[in-house]
Amino acid sequence: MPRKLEPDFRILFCVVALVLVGLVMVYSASGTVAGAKYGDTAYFLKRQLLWAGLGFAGLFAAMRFDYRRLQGLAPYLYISSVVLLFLVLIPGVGREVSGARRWLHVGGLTFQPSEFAKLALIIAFSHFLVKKENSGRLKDFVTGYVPVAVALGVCFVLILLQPDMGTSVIAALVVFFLFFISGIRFSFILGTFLVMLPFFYVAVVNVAYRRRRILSFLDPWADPSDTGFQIIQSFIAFGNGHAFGTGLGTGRQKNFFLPDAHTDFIFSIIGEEFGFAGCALIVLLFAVLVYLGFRAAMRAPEPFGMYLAAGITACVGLQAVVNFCVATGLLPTKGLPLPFISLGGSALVMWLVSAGILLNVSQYRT
Amino acid sequence: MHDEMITARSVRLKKIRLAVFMLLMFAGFGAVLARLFDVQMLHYKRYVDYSKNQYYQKVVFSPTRGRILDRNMETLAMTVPMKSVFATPTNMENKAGAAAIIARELGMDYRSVRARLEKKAHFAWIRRKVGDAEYESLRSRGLRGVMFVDEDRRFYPLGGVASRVLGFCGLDNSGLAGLEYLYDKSLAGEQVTLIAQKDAAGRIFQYPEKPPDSNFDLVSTIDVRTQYDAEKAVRRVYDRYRPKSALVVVMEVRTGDLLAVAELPGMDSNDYASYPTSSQRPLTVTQAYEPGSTFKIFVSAAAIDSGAASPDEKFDCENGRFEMYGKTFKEAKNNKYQIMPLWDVFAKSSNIGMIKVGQKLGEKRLYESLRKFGFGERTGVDLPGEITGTLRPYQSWSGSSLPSVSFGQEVNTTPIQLVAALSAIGNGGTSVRPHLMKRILKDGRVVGEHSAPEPKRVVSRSAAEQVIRMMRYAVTNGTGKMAAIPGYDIAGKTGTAQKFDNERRVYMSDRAISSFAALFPANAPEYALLVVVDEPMGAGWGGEVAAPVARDVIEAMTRRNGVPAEGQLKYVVDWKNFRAAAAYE
Repeated sequence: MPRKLEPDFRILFCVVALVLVGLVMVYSASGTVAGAKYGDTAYFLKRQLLWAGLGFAGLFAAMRFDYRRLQGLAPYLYISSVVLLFLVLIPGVGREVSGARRWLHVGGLTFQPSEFAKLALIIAFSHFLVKKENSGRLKDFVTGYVPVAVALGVCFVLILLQPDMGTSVIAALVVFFLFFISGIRFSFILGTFLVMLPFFYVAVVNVAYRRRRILSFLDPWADPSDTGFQIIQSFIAFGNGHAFGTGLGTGRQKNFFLPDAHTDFIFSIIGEEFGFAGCALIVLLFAVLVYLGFRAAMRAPEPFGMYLAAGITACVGLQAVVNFCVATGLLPTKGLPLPFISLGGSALVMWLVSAGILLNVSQYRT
Repeated sequence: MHDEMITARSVRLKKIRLAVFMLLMFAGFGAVLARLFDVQMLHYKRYVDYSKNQYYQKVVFSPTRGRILDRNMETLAMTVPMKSVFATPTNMENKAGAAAIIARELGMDYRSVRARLEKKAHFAWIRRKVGDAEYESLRSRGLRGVMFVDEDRRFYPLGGVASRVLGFCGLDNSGLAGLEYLYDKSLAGEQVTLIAQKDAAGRIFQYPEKPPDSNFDLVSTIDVRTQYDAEKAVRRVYDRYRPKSALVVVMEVRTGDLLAVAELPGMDSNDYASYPTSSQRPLTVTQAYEPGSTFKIFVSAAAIDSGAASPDEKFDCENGRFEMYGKTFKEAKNNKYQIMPLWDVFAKSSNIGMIKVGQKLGEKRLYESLRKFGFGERTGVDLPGEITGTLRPYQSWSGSSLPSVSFGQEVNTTPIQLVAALSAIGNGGTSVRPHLMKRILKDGRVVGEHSAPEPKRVVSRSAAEQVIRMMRYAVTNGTGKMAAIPGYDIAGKTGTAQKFDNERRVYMSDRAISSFAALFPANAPEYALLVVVDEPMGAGWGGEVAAPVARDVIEAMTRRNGVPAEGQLKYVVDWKNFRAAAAYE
């Protein structure tokens, strides 16, 4: 029978450290932009502080909430995700910012349904997979795989329509990862990918900005002032940082050179102001967090806890790796914020609630 | 039991898959670290170098252009801060209304203002360098898209005084002519280049503070009062005889300081563009003319210096007609002279007598002496565009060259050459270089000073003194009487050079250059003065036209300097002398 122990506070330590780094770096990276735009250099810092406070409240609540009770909520979480993702697409309901409809406006605060959906899908599919396994249909294609694949597909398409390719891909990959560890035949998963391939090709080639991103990723220096601009500015930030950085607040790249310095490219500013040492420390923090998360998953008393912990950990790890790779030019430019660190209201809350669930799982052992 | 085994196996498999995935993720973190190491530790220099261009921008500060002062620190040229008006047409709403207001406030044509505002541009000048009152009244209208920028304007407080020498500056305040051009670098001062930090939009966000201006001043040799006297005198002759041009140059013989360079037709440096370019050059260094009789000063000096002649030596003036190499030489106004000493040859300005002097001297000695006086080469005065004039080498002279050169034909000189040669006589026979820059000051400290070249002996002191006595005699008893000032000794020589008609290859009887060269005070010359009047109408003879100009200037100078030697200086119209002088030449 599972024993309830203390939660793994090393996980909490990592999360708190990352959020604190985030607060400092958001202020450093956004000060100039905020000052120019809102006349208040601390504009973004204040919002991030507010959301972090809200997020930690969520984290402690989730930590106290027995994760097994989430199983009962799973279908509702899935349905509410679909509803919210559908709502955000309706003009007038969803708020459009620079061509993408990703935000819902609730009482002066903006809320990103896809961030909620990411966590909700992890919970929902952890539950679905347990149910399929218990009913013995997990390895069956028609009754086992097709329903979960379609359930995932609906959400994937809805997020893709916003359009938010980064989040939809991350969410899908995490759920596929759950499929993979649950024991669904690998051939199903592989087959799905092969079927999707032509669609991906069309989606990338047909959308001009994505094609440009791919091309500029292959050779950013071909057009340093336009499409290659962001990634080159990111390189400059890293290069200027050298071993130990220019010092907190002294980076220059955030002065309008590097777009999205306080969101998707905050890692570059860390690289500039704290150098290779600072970057390595951040990567290490994420690696430790991933290790502890997976360890908690492996020690979880039953598959649901395992899926839940593994899914949350994979989501954090995957998004971090993708963000790092984009910032360092290993992947094409993709608008994905760095978990816990980048500016992002509802996203930060969801990451902290996820961490709370992970901590909750971590206190149980077989 | 069996189920439990299956469950245990599936749990183990799940953990294995999880571990595989975890390893994959660590591999991802590892790849990121490797990449960071490459970018931040191995190849960071490339990015650092690349970034420098986008972080920094050079900002150049130009100090306010320095003043040009006269020798007594009177301001001749200065810089006045003004406002220039420009528009950002893309940022304007009611262009018609704005154009009407601008046109009224600045006194401009509505349509031309409107056309500027209708340009599809982010920037269009409306009017540069407007006055304070116009600026204030337009600014108070607070028109959107109408902006102002500080621009310095060059201002010459004395208007047209010495304008051809001072020159002028273009809209961008760089010197384009005269002293403004020649000393542009000194006047412009030292530009200060500072590094400003800029952001990605190219906006400078840390503007370096403008360093305090250094004041550069050019102290010129010009003496405003003398200049003014000269301008007044030359104006009088210009209005009376309507010549093509008229000029007066006054120079201090010991130092080479040019006290006055007055030239007409004049121009105003404040408004140089409305004058023809011919009026923008200093004539003193760009006008080449045949000196005529004033040249006899230097031929005589050469002859006396070499011992070929002495003032008392008699020369046969051939009763007014002398043939040589098939060419007939006559005296001015068909005067007829017989045998007389060099004193009188000089004072009465006998051409034939001077030919005889030249013959005694010989081509080689004459030529070499004239070269020593500086004819045929630039004096090196600090004015742009100086020409050399022409004095052909004696080896290429024809048979009639020696006689012609002897009385100032077949030779082209510039006024400045003549003044410089005259100064050599006044300076006891040693050369002196004319110049306009006395010193350059930076914040009142001397940072540059005129340095005179090593003086060279041109003729002996005794020869120079004898020539000065002859010039004095010419003023008291000869052709220069019209320059005489009762009670004040002047040494001078008139000159009237008929102009050569290049088409008909003859000297024209109705066109001449009238000039007068003077050294004063005669007993110990301090100043050299030259008057050149090009084609005076109606009266062509030096004594009538140029000599009174010299007298006016000298009189004004001496009166101001309190020099009169004997008695009260008074101006008397000496009609007897007037007619006598007129009859003389």
